[in-house]
Amino acid sequence: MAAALRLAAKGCWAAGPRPAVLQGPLVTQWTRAVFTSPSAAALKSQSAEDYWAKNKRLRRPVSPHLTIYKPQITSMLSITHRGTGLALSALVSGLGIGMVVLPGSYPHYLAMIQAMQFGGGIIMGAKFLIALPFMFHLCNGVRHLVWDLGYGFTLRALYKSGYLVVAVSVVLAAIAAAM
Amino acid sequence: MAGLLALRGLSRNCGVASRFGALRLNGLYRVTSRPLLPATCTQALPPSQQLLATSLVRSTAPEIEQAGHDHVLHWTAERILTLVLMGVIPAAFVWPTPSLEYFMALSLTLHSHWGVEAIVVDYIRPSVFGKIIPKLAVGAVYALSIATLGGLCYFIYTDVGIVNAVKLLWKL
Repeated sequence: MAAALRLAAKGCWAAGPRPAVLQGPLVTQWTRAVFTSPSAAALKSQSAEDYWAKNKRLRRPVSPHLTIYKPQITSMLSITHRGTGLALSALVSGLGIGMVVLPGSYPHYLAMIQAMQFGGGIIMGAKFLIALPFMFHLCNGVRHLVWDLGYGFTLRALYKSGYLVVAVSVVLAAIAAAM
Repeated sequence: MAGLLALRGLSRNCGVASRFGALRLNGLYRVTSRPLLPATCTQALPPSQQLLATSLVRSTAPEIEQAGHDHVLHWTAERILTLVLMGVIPAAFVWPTPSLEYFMALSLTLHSHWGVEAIVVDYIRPSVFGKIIPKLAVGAVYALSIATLGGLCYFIYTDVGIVNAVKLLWKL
């Protein structure tokens, strides 16, 4: 089978006569292919099956992707941007829907938390944990907008801006926690 | 991918196309189209060469199929809303008026809605979940966003308001 393929690729006469579309130098073949589309009859004779349905039908396995790809700052910051966005959204929705559903007022629940008498360190830690997703999403969001303007797509710039965003986020969250 | 195509369109409109000349993005914009051989031609080939011939499979991306319309306007609106949001939040803290609060609640909810919708559309796909569940999921996102906006407006009207909520929480 491999030998036959090699014969076919080399265009050897031993593989048999080839149709017009596969004759001539590769450049000519490619040009011909680019400028010809299947005829209406050809399209009818073959059914256009959905990509996923076809591969499911042939029971083909899917190559590993998430399990084998090395985590890099590009992908990790991207998914973190999505994750922080989702978390902040949950917070906003929680506040909006929660304050309608729950019977008491906001100061009432604040007083409940105050009554638990957490230490200063724990409160500062909690503030940092709330501020960090917000600051990261803000800083990385700015990084996104810079990309949308067309800047910073070289690998060096990606890595530099990535590390900068992480550093600035931590600093801003620390400042917010101290306030 | 859709975002990149939209970006190209935006750059053409904004006249910053020259900047894209400097980008090393060769190959990223090319839409690959595999040459499709007519069936009669393929059948005439020996079996070994039939393996090399490409079969007619629909190569359109599912998200473009689902959208059925131009994404550029939505994409642009998302970026503008992001800028507006980045201005409104500090403004609401500096000048805590009810009108700014309501506007901030609207911007926040819309930004969050578009974000969560993108996540749901990305992961709850027809190829994995079938035909009905993705549509229900997107409907659920709309319901959640409407409920959130309603809840936030109720909170601003009857309770302390978003800015005061954060300030009071931070005073703990």
